[in-house]
Amino acid sequence: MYRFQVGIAEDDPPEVAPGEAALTGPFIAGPGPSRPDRASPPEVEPIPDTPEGFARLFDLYARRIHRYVTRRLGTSEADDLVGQTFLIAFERRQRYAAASVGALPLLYGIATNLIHRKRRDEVRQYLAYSRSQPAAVDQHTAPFAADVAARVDAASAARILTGVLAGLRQAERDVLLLYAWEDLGYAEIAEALNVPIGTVRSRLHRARRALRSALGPDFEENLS
Amino acid sequence: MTEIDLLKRVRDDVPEPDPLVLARARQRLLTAPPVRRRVVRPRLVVAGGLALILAGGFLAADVMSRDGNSAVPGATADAGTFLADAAAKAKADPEVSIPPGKFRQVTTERTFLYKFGPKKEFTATEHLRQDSWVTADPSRPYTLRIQELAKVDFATPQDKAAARRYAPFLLGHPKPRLGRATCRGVLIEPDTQTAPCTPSWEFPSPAFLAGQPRDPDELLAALRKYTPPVLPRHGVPERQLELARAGVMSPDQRAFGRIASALNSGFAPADLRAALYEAARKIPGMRLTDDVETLDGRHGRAIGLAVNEGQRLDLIISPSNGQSIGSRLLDVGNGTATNDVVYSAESFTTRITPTQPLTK
Repeated sequence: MYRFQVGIAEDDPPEVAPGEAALTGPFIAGPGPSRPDRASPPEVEPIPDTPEGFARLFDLYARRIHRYVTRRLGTSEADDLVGQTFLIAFERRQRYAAASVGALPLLYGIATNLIHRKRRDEVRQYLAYSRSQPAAVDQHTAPFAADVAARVDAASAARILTGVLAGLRQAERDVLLLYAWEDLGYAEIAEALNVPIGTVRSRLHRARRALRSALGPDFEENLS
Repeated sequence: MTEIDLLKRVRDDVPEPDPLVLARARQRLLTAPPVRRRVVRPRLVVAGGLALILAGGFLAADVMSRDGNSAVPGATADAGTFLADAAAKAKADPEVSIPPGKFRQVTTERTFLYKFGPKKEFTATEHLRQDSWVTADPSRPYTLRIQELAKVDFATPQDKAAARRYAPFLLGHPKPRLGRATCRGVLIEPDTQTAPCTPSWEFPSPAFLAGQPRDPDELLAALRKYTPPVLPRHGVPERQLELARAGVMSPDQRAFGRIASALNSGFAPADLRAALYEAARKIPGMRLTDDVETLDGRHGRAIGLAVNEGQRLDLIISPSNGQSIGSRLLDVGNGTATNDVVYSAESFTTRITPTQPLTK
């Protein structure tokens, strides 16, 4: 049964076969906290019931799903997984009929579960990225000192953060990236991952704490 | 700035998806084949970074058709001479400008090989046809019609029989898709809200090409330079990923792939074509192949560059007028001519037309 247990963390959800987690259990409509920084309400696309309807859904969201998978696994994997995501969604469309958040979070959920099968590749990619050498500063393309410094800082931060991503638990990484990269709200993430909102909050809190810790005290002081 | 803001910038410059990849995934959805539970299917081999660069996506599979033409590479000096001659002819033979109210129709034929089955033991050649109707104003969106699976060739009856089981979408006859486009290959259908893409070397629009320098040195510098895609969100270039890509594709390979993309678009005016040829002359390692046949049966000479280990990208140019008429991506195997395998091919023609199909 899908639960809304605000404030209750669930660190160890039951094991669910990859690709299935977002498909199991009824999706019970219910209010959830919308993301505070969202500029406008999320677009809710109903679950279509025909191949043509899903083709329209594909036109709407395929690029977003592809981009999400690409950021986590790379282009080649994204090329494969996007099609599978929509095919699985189509096959299980009856189960989505009651979803209150529309199709997009559910597509993210399926894609995320498909990504789990490649988690070693994902982590390896983050580690390689975090261990790469800093980019050399090209004075011809970045002639302004302030801009150069900003680029170097951004590159350093990116290496640090990818190192943190590699070290996070899979469940925390899922929540963090759906929140940060895909701008999903708590309720949408909960629906996507089939976990309570409280779990989303606690996982996100831990992940953000890990990020801040890795960025160091200077960053936290500036933040405060 | 919070840690979330910083994280948003990480891996933010991933490339846009290949329209052809999306088109094929969409087609599979329409034919509703059984869901494959295995995620790790032996994926299509995207022919290096060049597959994306090549004309809206030359998607390459594994074993391909034999190239029936001789592919004996010539000397680099010959390639340079031929390119210089082609540049001169292109300048001397500019295309007819588009009269007001009329259109330049660019018709493109593409093939790519698809391998399927449990062990990828079956192959099919997919044909795609694309027509664009461009107005005299390069900044205007243009009409685009894409016919996926215009034809599918099977090498053997066994391949066709296997398609019924493993790849039924190959036996479908999808209707042409018609809509407006701002970037080559990206269709904005009237009944969807697909966002327009941003023109780039990989997805050139007429306006994008019109704004490129004509000086060969400046043009080559622009072609060689890595420019992260301009994305609608965040849009901060990530230099680490840039470096990673640079390790895969050299600036010269990137430049040559972009030259192919620009020429294959059919949108490059004569002065830009000439500049692209002159820029290609400055890329070391270019090879010339005589008498190469395009997909639509025309003959030309090919300028080729090794783009990946064991692969070569050929641009096919008409020696009579310096017009680019197509391209192909080859697996050159061990380097002997008889082992050349065509991964993908493309040809295009242009003509002035008084009308275009009406979109909704």
